[in-house]
Amino acid sequence: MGLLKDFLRIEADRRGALAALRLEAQSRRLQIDEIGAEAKRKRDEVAMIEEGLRRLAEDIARTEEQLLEIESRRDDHDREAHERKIEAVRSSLEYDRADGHRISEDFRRLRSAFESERARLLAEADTGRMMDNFFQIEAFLKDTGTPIPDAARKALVKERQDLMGRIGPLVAPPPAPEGVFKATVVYTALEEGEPAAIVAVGLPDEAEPSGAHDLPALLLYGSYASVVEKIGPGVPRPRREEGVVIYEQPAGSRATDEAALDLFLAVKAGLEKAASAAGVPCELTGVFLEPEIASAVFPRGGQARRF
Amino acid sequence: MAVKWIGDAAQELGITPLDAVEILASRQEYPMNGLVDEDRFKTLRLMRGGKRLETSGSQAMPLPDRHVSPMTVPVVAPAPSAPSRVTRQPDAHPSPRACSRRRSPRPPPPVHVIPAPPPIRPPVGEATSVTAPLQTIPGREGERTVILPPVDPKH
Repeated sequence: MGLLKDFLRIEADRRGALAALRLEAQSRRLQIDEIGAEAKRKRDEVAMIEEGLRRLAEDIARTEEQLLEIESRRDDHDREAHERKIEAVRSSLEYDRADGHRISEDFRRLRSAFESERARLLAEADTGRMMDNFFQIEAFLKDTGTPIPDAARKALVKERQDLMGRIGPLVAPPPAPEGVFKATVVYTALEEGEPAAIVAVGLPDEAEPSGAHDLPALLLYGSYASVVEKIGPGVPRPRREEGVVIYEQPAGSRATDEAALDLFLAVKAGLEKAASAAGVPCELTGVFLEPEIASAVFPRGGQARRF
Repeated sequence: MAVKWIGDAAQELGITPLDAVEILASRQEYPMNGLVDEDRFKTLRLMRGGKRLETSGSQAMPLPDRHVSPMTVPVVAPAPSAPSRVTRQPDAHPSPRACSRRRSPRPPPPVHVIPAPPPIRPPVGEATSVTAPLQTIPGREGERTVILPPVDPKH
């Protein structure tokens, strides 16, 4: 009996342990299912994040392409602006040259006719007498110390007007063209190679040989004289390149900007003085050129004609 | 006084117009109307050969022995009749007196230094052809500068 009871007890314990293990296994299986579900949810999240990252990468690539395109357009704009500036400088100088040519022709025509008329009047026999009379009347009328009766003054004024009509070119100032000599004087400071200051202006060609009625020659000589007076003798001669008169002065030990400004002021003052001496109204505009533009417009060592 | 266009004057002197301009401008004498009077033409004629010499830099001048102002250096006029052959003759037949004179230390021969005349420059601040204000005459279109051409006295 004892053995049977032991067997029954052992069997009952085994069945109880087996049931407990079954419950434990069931619990573990449920845990595995939860972890699997959690893993699946995490994988879904990772997939969503990866999708977002892929989209962000595509956005970055597209933005970079746009950036490259913008940079390319900026380079195109810079290149176009550079070329347009070069063209603007060339066309401005060319326009100044053509406009100056027109005024020069007017100047030459007016002065030639004036000189011809003067020569004709001087060749006449009674011109000297009329000039004497004119200047005597002028002196008499301007003499405030001698009282002149009104009737006599009126007669003298009338006589002076008559004489003025006959010998006007001999006592009147020479005529000047109606137009205004307008020009743009460009200047720059080149640092490449030997630092140099450059000043350029569009001037028409002077006659060969030049004459007293040659406005371009007068302007060129005046500007060069001013450069010599203000900077000193021995300065390089101006050169002509495609109709543009170019002054190029090595900066030496001075700052290139300062040398360019001095050269520009000297050329501008000379042109103004020469134009004033010729009786031609003058309007000059100074424009500082970027060195990149100036290097393209005024290449060094080009085919230039030295004066 | 006859005036000439500077280009014609330069051609007559065998130089380029810009040479003539440089010569006159370096002396502050360039006329802005380009008409050269007789004085300036003479200047051009005198300066045409030595233009580059003058403008090429300073020239070394012999200095006197004594440290004095160049303006006070005495300029000794050359002897009226003292040819070198006359002074060399006693060397061929030296007399005792001449020998004794030769032994004594001779003073160094005087250096005839004639200071270069100062260039004719306008005083500082004086108006020149470039710096002078232009006389303007008001006209119909506003102020206009007029340069009256000189009247030829021959006519």
